[in-house]
Formats: sequence, structure tokens, C-alpha cells
Amino acid sequence: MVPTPKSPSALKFDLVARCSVTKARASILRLPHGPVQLPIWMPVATQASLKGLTPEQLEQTGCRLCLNNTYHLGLKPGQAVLDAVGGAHKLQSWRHNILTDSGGFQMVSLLKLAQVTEEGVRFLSPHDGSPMLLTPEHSISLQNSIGSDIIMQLDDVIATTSPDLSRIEEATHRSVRWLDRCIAAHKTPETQNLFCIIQGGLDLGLRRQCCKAMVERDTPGIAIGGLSGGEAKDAYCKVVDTCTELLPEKKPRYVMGVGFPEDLLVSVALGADMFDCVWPTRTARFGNAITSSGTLNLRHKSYAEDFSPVDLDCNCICCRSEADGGLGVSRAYIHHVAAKETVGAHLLTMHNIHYLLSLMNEVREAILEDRYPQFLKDYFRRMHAGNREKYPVWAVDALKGVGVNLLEQ
Amino acid sequence: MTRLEDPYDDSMRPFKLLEFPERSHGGRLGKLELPHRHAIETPHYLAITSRGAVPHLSQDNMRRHSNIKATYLGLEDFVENAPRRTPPLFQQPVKNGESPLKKFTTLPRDTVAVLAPRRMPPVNPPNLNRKSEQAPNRSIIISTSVGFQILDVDEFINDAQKLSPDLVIGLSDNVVGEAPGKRRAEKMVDRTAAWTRKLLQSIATPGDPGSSTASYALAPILPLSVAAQSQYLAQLEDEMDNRLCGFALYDTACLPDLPERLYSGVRLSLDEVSTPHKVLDEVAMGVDLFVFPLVGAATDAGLALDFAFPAVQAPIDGPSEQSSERQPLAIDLWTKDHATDLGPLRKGCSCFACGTHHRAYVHHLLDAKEMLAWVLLQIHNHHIIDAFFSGIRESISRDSFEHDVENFNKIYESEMPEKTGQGPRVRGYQMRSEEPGEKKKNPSRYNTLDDIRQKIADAPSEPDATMKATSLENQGLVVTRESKTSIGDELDK
Repeated sequence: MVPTPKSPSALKFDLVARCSVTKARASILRLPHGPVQLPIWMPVATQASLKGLTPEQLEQTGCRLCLNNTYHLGLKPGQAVLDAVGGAHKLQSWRHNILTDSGGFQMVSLLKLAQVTEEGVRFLSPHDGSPMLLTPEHSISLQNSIGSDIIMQLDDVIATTSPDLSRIEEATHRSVRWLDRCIAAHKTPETQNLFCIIQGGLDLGLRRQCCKAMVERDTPGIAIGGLSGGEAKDAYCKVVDTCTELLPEKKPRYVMGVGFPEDLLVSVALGADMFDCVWPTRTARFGNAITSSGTLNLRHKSYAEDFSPVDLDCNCICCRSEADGGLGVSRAYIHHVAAKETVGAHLLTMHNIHYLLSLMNEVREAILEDRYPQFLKDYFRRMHAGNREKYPVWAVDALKGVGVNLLEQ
Repeated sequence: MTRLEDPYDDSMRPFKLLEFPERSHGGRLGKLELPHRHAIETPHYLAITSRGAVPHLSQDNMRRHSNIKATYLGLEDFVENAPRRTPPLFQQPVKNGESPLKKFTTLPRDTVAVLAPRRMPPVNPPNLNRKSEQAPNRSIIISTSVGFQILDVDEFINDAQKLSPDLVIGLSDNVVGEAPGKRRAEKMVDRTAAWTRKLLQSIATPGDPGSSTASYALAPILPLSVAAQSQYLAQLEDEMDNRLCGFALYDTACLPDLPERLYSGVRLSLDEVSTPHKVLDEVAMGVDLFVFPLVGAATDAGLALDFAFPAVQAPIDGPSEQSSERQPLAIDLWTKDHATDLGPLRKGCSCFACGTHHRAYVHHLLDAKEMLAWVLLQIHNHHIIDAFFSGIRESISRDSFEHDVENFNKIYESEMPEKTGQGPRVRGYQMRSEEPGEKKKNPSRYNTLDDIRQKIADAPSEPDATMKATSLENQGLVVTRESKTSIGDELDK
């Protein structure tokens, strides 16, 4: 047997606490640009900018690890500029950590005419239609130029809803082969951490095979990919639950594309540590505020005369009163500017990011104090105003599987 | 500079001229001091707001990274569907003495708020086809986010009183576009005179007993000759008491001929000046406060303002024949030569954008159509204009204004650089549809793919994901280019 290449590490993972009932964990991930507390949700600054926020404002929401997209940075400003400038941290003057995806997901989600071969992903440039090729080596080379603290392997992403099982199987095995090429191509393992991405669609057998093969490669961290593509939530939970069973305890586990509050809470209970999603910041630009009582569409006229803060319990700069050093922004004012002035988007983006980061902090506190099951019950009760019939069945079932009965008093 | 006593000094008025020059002399220094507000040393500018916010500047950024002390707000940004429905702004709960306008828009309490009927620059209302239900003797047409509406003079005065801005610009009957005929001009003067009288009779000023809200008034001066509005000006001379803080001039041409009695009022120019040179001209004519779209227009055009007053000749680093060339007033961040430039927007600038970020980033943000580009430019451009005005004040007090202006005109180009890139998305209330079938104001971002779509339709076989790139090329679906390229190669083109 050919020895599998092993990947060095530029991180330290300290597991601090485990929930005594669920599979939830609290840990510290020490990265080249400082430590981050897990579990964590990471906002997405696609093109080296978080939609209108200055890096300073992003820092003030408490964010210490955000995403950039390799695909977008490869197009603009391009690798030559990234090399000349000295990477994405310097480009955006961000002194904390950055995680970049591999670009594979955008190939599939944004480009209709993408063709995947063993060599890589061939696609047409969205700017001028010229043909381009993204290989595992290109992706790693770009991420090396970006200089992100966590880089992702190029994977063969197939929609989980695809009916073509043989294609999913091919993609799973190809992702493992591409991982080896990524490890071999990775030039700076001492400063950048390469994470593998487990594929296998919704087929638990394939997922197990993929976990086994990738764990052998011993990457500093492990991602569960190919999810959040429209599959049923219970199928999603089964995949996460199955994978976390097989993953080493001493490595961070990252589930890609998760950002709804209840999805985050359930996924943490299933043993995942890291998440990213554009939904919280995208929905902010449409005037939607994430609050402890659900997501509010502040463009609705019922908020035009609502002079209360976006979320009463929120501590973000918009929600805090002027007396507490905040801005004291009201729902009515957000209604007044939402979708009319970009300032409305900036304010809500800050709120939504702050809300999710502090939610994850509360989750962490609850795990540290070993009261996560109660935290889950309280959160769902509050979110659905005490109406248990409104609890999503998939969440109730998934949490039952890890020993928490949401419907119990 | 000849220092004279203000012969019409009214100690109750919040605006004081510090130096009271002779008529012919250029530039005057003053101070606008309102209780519990930033003292505004003049000449100064008001930052323009849209729907209560300085465009692109979230209120935290405005507080932290700008030195904006006074803002201009248009009532038309807040009164959709009035009077049928009470606008939310008027239901804003406030503590005693607080301005609902500031509370609603989260404007800092010490920022001077100037309320006008209309935005700046205003969207021209439809010409001639005044709304049939409008009574022209007591109303104007305004533009709200839900369409054109009528604003009645009583309603405006009422609203202004409730909102309690620091200064309120009276309603005026302006004709936009072509110059009004003689009869129309007479009507303009009569109506504006009557409306201003009404405003001055109704408004409560700070210190008035029994009133929790208070504002000072700025009387509008019409864009007509002094002769054409002499009766109105005479009326203002009679009304020149402590309620009337000064004047809002739609055209500064009449400034030299204004009656002497009106000299001590603060003069706000609504002239929409578009270059710093014109600002200097108006300062020389004795304007104290400015509202101009210059800063916002530069920001939206992707321009970083790059001038200072008094001007300093930049060190020449090119061939000597370039030394006679004038310096541009702004840097176009759209141009590719900034792509890897890690220098600040303007050398030596101490603003947040220049201190924290670099040209390469702002260029990238513009190129990627990221909103942050305009945020950083707006911070920088307001910083430049702030320094510009403080330079003007220092120059006047040093008595070197005339000389500094001459030098400024010599060193800098006379116009702003041409806009080369696309600005931020235009919003509905910022423009007016002129005719059916107009071009889209916000061009589609994905138009290159639209050509490809046509080619796909013309292709002999429907392309799909399993197709080889070479066969795509053969079908003309791709621009001819070396086929094996990585996405990192984009820049080489």
C-alpha cells in the first residue's frame, strides 16, 4: 500500500468541556491569528469585505474568524494582486483569522456550465466567458496566496438531492484523491491549516468510508461538506451525527453552510464545532433581523411605528441604548431605511452578526456549565413563544437521538 | 482685515459675526452657538443626509470617524402618505426637550440639525402638471419614496415645530429648471413672503416660555435679483429679530446687493456648488454655511478628494515639464494603477480610511462593487472637506484669504475629474422617471453572460456540464483565449 501523505498542523485544539448528555463540546482553537472559542459561527466576507462593514466594525461584533471566498478573490483582485499585496489579511487590514473555502462550491452553485473531471473543475469565466480550470493544485496555490489561517481542500461537490448515486460515489472517492493532491500541493502547512471535506451525499455508508479515508490523512481539522443544499433536515442531522461518531475527538469539526439559529443549536448537540453561512448577513440586507423570538421582517409595515430596539436583550451597538454607549436604533428607523439606504443594511448586518456570535457564546457557556440540554429547551420555548406544536419535528427527533427531549417539561 | 462692530447685533441671536468685514472684502468669520450643541465656526458645511443618515455612514461610523457637526435633513424623506397617515417620525416618543427628529434618526444630540422641506439635491417635480388638488398659494410639491406629494405651508410649519430641529429653512416657491417669467416671479415672491411671515409668527425659539420645542428660522432667499424680491427683503428687514437667524440662499448672485440690515444673519448657500473653487468664490462673497452635493458626488463616483486649503504644491517627481501641470482635485480609485498600491488615499491624510486601509483595497472594493468602497470614500471625503473649511477659517483670520485663493486656483485643476466607474445602486427616491421605456438606472451586473445566453440558443447542440471545453470553444460559446488558464490568471489580460 502506498503510504498516505500526512498534513502538518498550524493550530492547537484544546477540548475544554463536553456536555454530559449530548455530543456538544466546548473548545479553544488556537490559530495563527489568535485563539477562537468554539463552538463558533463564522460570518462570510465573500470578497474580502463583509457587505458594507469596516473590518473594525466586524471586529466590534466580537468576530475573530471570518470567511473569504477563494473563487471570488481569485477573480477579483486575482492571484497576482494578492501576491503583490501580501495576502488577504493585508488586503483588508484584518488582524484576526480568515478561513477560505476551496472555490469548489461556487463552481457548482454559481456556474451552470461547470464540468468536473479528474483533473479539476472546468468552467467559463463569469466576467468574459473565457474557459478556466480550477484544479486542487490551483485552489491550494490561490489559498496560499490568500494566506488564510484555515484553507479547505478542493472537493467534488454534488447536490445532496442528486438522484445519481454512482455520481455521488465517484465524487466521494475523487474528493479523497483530490485531498491527497491538495496536501501535496500545500506549500505553507506551518502557517496555514488544511482541512479535509467529507463527502458522500446522504448515503451514510459512503460518508463512513469517506470519514475513514480522510481521518487517515490526519489533517489539522475536518469539515463535513456537501450539506445545506436543500436536503431534508432529518437526513442532514443523520449525516452529521454519523460523521461526528467517526471523527477524532481532538480535532475541530466544521459543518459548512449552516446559519439558522435552530440548525446551529442542533448541530452543536450532534458534536459539530464550527459553522459558516451567508444567510444571517444576506437576510440583513433584505431588512430581516434575527432575534430571540425569531426572524423579524422589519420592512413589514407593522414595524413602522415600533420604537423598541431590534432585540430587547441584544447587546449590539444598534440595540444598546445611547446611555449604554450604543446607538439606540429602533425597529421603526430600520423600517424607514431598510432597502432604501445602505446604512439600514449596515446596521442590521452588525446586529445579526452580533446576535449569532453571542448566541454561540451562550451555547459555549451552557456547555461549560453542563446545562446545554436545558439551554436547548429554553431557546426553543422562547423562539416559538411556548407553543410546542410549532417545534420543528426534525429538531425534536435529532435532539431525542442525543438524549434531549424538547417536548418534556 | 477691518474689524467693525456689527451695527445690528442682536445678542439673542445664536449667530455672531466674529469679524465684520466691509462690503467689498472677501470672507467673514462667524460662530453659530446653539444651547447644548456643537459650536459651529463659520465658514462651515452641513453634511447632507438621506432618510436621516449621511449616505454610506452608519451612525456609529459617523460618530467615530467623522467630524460632522451639522447635518441637513429634508422633511420629504419622512412624510410618506402624510397627511392621510401620521408619519412614524411624529410618533417617536421623546423625553422633554428632545428633538423627535434626532431621536428617530439616532443623530447625536449635540449635532446641529437643519431641517428643510426638500432633500439636497431635490428631485424636480413634474413640470406644469401640478397635482390638480394642489393649492399653489399655500403648498409646494415634494418627492417622497412613494411618489410626489403636496406639502402645505401650515403642515410644514406644524411639522417643523413638532420636530424641533435647531434651524428650519422656510418653505419657498421655487421654479426649477428654466427661469420664471415676470408674472411667475412676482407670485414666487408674494408666496414666499407670506409663508416666511407665517413661519416667523408661529415658531418658538429656545428660551420662549412654555414651549418644549424650539428652532430658529432661516428665511429662504429666492434665485431672483434683489430688485425682483425687494419687497420681500424689506419685509425681512422688519422681521429681523431673534427668531430669524439668517437666510438660505438658492442663488448667491444677489448676495452683494442684500440690504445692510440683513448682514448679520447667517447665510446658508443652497447653490449646489460642485467644486472647491466655487466654494471659495462664495466664501469671498460672504457665505457662512454650505450645503453641497460635492462630497457625496465624489464618493459615489469612486473619487477620493485630494486637495487642501491653503494649497501646498506637491513635490514634483516627474519630468520637469509636468511642473506646470495643475494637480487634480481628486484621485479616481477605479483606475487599475491602484490595484497593488498600499499607500493611503491621500498622502499624509489622518482620516480613518487612510490610516487603516490603502488604495489597493478601495480599488478592489469598487471593482468588486462592495458597499464598503463608498463607506471608506465617504469617511475620507468628509475629512478632506472638514479640513478644507478649517483651512478657510484660518486663512481668513490670518488675512491671507485672497492670496490663498489665488494660489489654490493656480495649483489645482478647475473641475473635478471625470467619473469613470459605476456608482452605487440608485434608489427610487433619488431620481424621477422622465418617460416610458427609459434605460435601467442600475445596469445589470451579469450582462457578459447575456451574450453567452444568445450563443447557447444558437448552438447546434445544447451545451451541458459534461461537454469538453474545446467543443464549447468550437461552438463559439467562449471568447477565444488560451484554454488552459486558472482563475488566478485574470489579471494578466
